[in-house]
Amino acid sequence: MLEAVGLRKVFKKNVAVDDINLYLEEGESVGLLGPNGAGKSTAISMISTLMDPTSGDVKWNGENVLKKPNKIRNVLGVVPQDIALYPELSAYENLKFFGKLYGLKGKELELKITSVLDIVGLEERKNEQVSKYSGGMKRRINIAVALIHDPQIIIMDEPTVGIDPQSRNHILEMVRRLNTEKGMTVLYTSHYMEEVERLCDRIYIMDHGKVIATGTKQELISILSSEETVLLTLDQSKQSFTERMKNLDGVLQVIENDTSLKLIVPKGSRLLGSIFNIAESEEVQIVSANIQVPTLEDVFLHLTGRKLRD
Amino acid sequence: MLPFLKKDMTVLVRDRTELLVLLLMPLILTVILGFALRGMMAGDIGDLDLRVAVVMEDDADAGVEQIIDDLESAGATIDRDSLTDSLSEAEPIQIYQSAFESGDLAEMLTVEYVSKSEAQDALEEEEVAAVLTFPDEFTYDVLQKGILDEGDGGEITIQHGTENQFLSTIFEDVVVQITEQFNMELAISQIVGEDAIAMMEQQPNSNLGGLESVTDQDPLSSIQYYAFGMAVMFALYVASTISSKAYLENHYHVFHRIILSGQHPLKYLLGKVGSTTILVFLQMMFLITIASTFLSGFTIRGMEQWAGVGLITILFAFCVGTIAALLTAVSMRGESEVISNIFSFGIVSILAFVGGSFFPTSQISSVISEIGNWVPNGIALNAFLQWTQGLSLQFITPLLWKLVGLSVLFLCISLLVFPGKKVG
Ligand SMILES: Nc1ncnc2c1ncn2[C@@H]1O[C@H](COP(=O)(O)OP(=O)(O)O)[C@@H](O)[C@H]1O
Ligand SMILES: [Mg+2]
Repeated sequence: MLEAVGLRKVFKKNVAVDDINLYLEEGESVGLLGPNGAGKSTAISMISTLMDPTSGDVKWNGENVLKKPNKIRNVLGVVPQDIALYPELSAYENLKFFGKLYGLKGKELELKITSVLDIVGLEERKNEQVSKYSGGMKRRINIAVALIHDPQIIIMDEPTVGIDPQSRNHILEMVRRLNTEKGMTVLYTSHYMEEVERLCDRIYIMDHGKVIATGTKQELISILSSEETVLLTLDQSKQSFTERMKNLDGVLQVIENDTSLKLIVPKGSRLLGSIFNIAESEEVQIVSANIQVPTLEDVFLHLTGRKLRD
Repeated sequence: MLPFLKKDMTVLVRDRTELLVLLLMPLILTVILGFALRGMMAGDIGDLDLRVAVVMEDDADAGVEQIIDDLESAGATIDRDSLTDSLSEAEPIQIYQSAFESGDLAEMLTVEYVSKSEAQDALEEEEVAAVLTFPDEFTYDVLQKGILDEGDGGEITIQHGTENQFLSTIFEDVVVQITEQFNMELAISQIVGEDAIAMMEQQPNSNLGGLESVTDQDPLSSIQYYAFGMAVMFALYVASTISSKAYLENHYHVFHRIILSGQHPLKYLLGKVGSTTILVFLQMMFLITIASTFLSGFTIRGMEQWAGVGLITILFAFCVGTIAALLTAVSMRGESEVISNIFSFGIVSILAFVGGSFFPTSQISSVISEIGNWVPNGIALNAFLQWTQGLSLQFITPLLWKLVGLSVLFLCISLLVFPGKKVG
């Protein structure tokens, strides 16, 4: 079990990670969800022994690894947020270089390279320079390099940032298979809640350096079980209507997005009638009205009052 | 460390533009500068303006008279007048004087005959690079040794100034050369008689007056000068290129991957030293080989000279390697590319300038040329020029030690600055 206990990181006066606790059980797939700047990358750097925490511990099977980082480095595969590769070298050469650093050589190394290229599906283009790859291919090879030494745990820092949906799907599917078929423990960082929802058994939600909620997807959503979301689509956006919605008895929260309004209301509150009445008096047409089951996005919203992505 | 070496070298070699700059630019500049500034050195080191003072304490005619007295008192029957004539023609001092006044040497050498005290003043004022003294009884001593095989022979002294070491060593070489030639002729004349000298004098090659250049080599050509000057300058760019790549490795967290693999970070740093050393060595050998193959006016003679050039190149390349490590360490410590950029856009040019890559700085300022004697490229350039001009190893060795010393210094600083195992 990999464990972070009371991890904290302060840069000058900026508290990037504020006393977080986190654990990874063997074979688990765990998500770390949070907006940009939440402190995910900083937390991951400390967990993977690249950065000393200001305070707190990282433990591998109960043993503190901060002083003896090599204890954990062999079992750890880390996929950095950046494309941490040599663009001048081919995919094959990159894999070979990093493989050698892990002490692999000869036939074993060649076999390993073939197998990870197969996992990420880039075998055919392995001899092209990485600089010639598309964004999605770069991301895939970025993952492949982290797998070269057969790690037990893979830590991925936003591995799908800035790529097309198809490549993204490919990567998500690949991560799922690594976890379910190869039994690899996964710590998956993202600011896309769909990804975390799809891949992870357990989720930590981070904001402003703190873990603000944790649990399985169901557990997290049940935070909102006493609430539901009413989604209105209007023919126009009108400030006076929005204001009246905010002031309407029973409405907990209003989120505006152009001509659509999201109202968070207590479960079972029968507000549709009053909403339509107000719409009429404000001369606003309601094009559609929807009552939604909450998502992680709503959970985040509920917890922070902000959207996950802006 | 091998994977690091290989990786650094492949990465740089794949960078086409960089490669063109490092390999083609110095050749182009050598040709342009070499031809444009031909005449500044070309063929004649005359423009180097070697000024020396000669102090004449000897009375040559008295020496001749005296040796004839000796011969007579030893009981030899001689025709005093004709012997005086022939000895006067072969006076050793005249042999030096006629060598100084002949051909190329006359163009580069300005000899002033002065008194002892005037010579000292001139040397202190740096008006002359060296003082040559013919002591009292010099002619007599030489002839006594040469004809009667008595005494210790004559001895001349050369006093070097503190500045202009390069010039004064050239002058010393000239004098040594003349002396050896003279001694050899004298020895031959003792063994086979006057005929030998007469015969040798008919062959222009063995004639002292035909001395071609200071050190029996082709004169330093501007092509030779700039080929080495540009090679040592562009070698410095390898250091900044390697370190700016290192910055990227750090910036994009490739360095994190290296640390995560459990490799000691120092291997990474030493890899930079190694790869830069090899790259610079290959780069310079390429440039020197191309120059010696295609550029007339650039000559390296024989295996011995090539070996020396190779040795200087290796030591200089290593020194550039330690500069690369230093730049790498600083840019990683500061998490900034600025240092590499300052180096390649500013410092290299300054180093090249004071190191004499653009023109011999001793011509404009002795301060600059003194600084130039302490920058790696200046040291290497001097070593290359002196060695290929045929100066002996003893002149080169101190320069090589300086390179080694600077390398050790740079390496130590880079180890101190290098951020080491943790990041952030
Ligand atoms: N090396 C650093 N020095 C100073 N501040 C940093 C550093 N790295 C991150 N931060 C700050 O810490 C906070 C968290 O950053 P980060 O961990 O990158 O968040 P995330 O990965 O969730 O987007 C941000 O405010 C960021 O500006
Ligand atoms: Mg991040």
